[in-house]
Amino acid sequence: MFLTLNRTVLIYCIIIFAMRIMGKRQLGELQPSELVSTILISNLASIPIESPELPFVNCIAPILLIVSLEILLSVLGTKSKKIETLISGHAKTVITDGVINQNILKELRFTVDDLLSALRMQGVFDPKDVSLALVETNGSLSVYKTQDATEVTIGFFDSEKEKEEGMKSPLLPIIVDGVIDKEVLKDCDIKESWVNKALKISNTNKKEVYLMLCNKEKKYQIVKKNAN
Amino acid sequence: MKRILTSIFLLILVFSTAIYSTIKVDTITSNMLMYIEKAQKENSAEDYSTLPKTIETMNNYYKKNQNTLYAFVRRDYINSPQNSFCTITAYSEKDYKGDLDAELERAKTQIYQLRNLFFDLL
Repeated sequence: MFLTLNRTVLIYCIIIFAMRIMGKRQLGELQPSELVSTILISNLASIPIESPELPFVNCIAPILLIVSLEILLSVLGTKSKKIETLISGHAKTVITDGVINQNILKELRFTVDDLLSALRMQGVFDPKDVSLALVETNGSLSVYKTQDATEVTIGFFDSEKEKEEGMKSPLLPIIVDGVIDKEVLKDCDIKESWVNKALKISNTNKKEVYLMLCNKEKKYQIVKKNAN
Repeated sequence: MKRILTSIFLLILVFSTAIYSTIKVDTITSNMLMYIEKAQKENSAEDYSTLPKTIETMNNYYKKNQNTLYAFVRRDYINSPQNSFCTITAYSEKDYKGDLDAELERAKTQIYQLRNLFFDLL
């Protein structure tokens, strides 16, 4: 009896430790690799409690291995865009200027009902009210409403100024950590030559850029990498 | 940075444990097989002056290392050779030569099963 009790307490402590070192991302909406590790850990954790004949070390080792692989994989993801895309995939644009992209929906195996339901959960009942909708890598839907459908805020009174400055469509990340995202370029109707020109005007090159946001109106912001 | 170091430490810990357990299980089971083969030879040579001593040493060695094996191998795979060893002591006489040989062979097979379970890669 005490074997089970001791194991339960130890497993409880180890899982709390595992969740803490995997960070807050693990507790919110999950990326594919995080979902896999969470499912595996929850299953593995119950085995030594249910089966006292199994060696405790053999049950704990896979949990610790998954935790460390998950952390190292996410670190690799931050170092390389390719690895991150391989592990987590890429956000997909499903609505542009009120038009549903049916091919992308098919590719994602989303039905129109799924999309409409996700839009309703965001408070949107008409796809035409959407300027841009993206299915994020964790499966959630991000919606940027058209100005006509946006609720009135204090900033609304400056909206005319924003329209003039070219903020009708949302800013999207076209360069992340020195790498140009060609899919986002396509979504923004921007050519790589224009990006290079914009970088030249800002006296920088893409390798020095940590984040470059841009929209269809070619309004952009550049965040340079830290010197250290 | 702390998380990366912790995960590297965990990875090292897991692999060190795996290597330690491999060495330990290999040493213990190899020694057990050696004792069994020694007992088999003494039984076939009808050397009943040293045979009880060999069986006792083998039993004591297994009992001593049982807890180490419990940490890395399923308990039922460790207990089945133990059950065979319990009866072997009573057969270390000339009248039970055939029985002892069979029991030793069974214990040997159980140790091999334990090794196969532990050392298989997939």
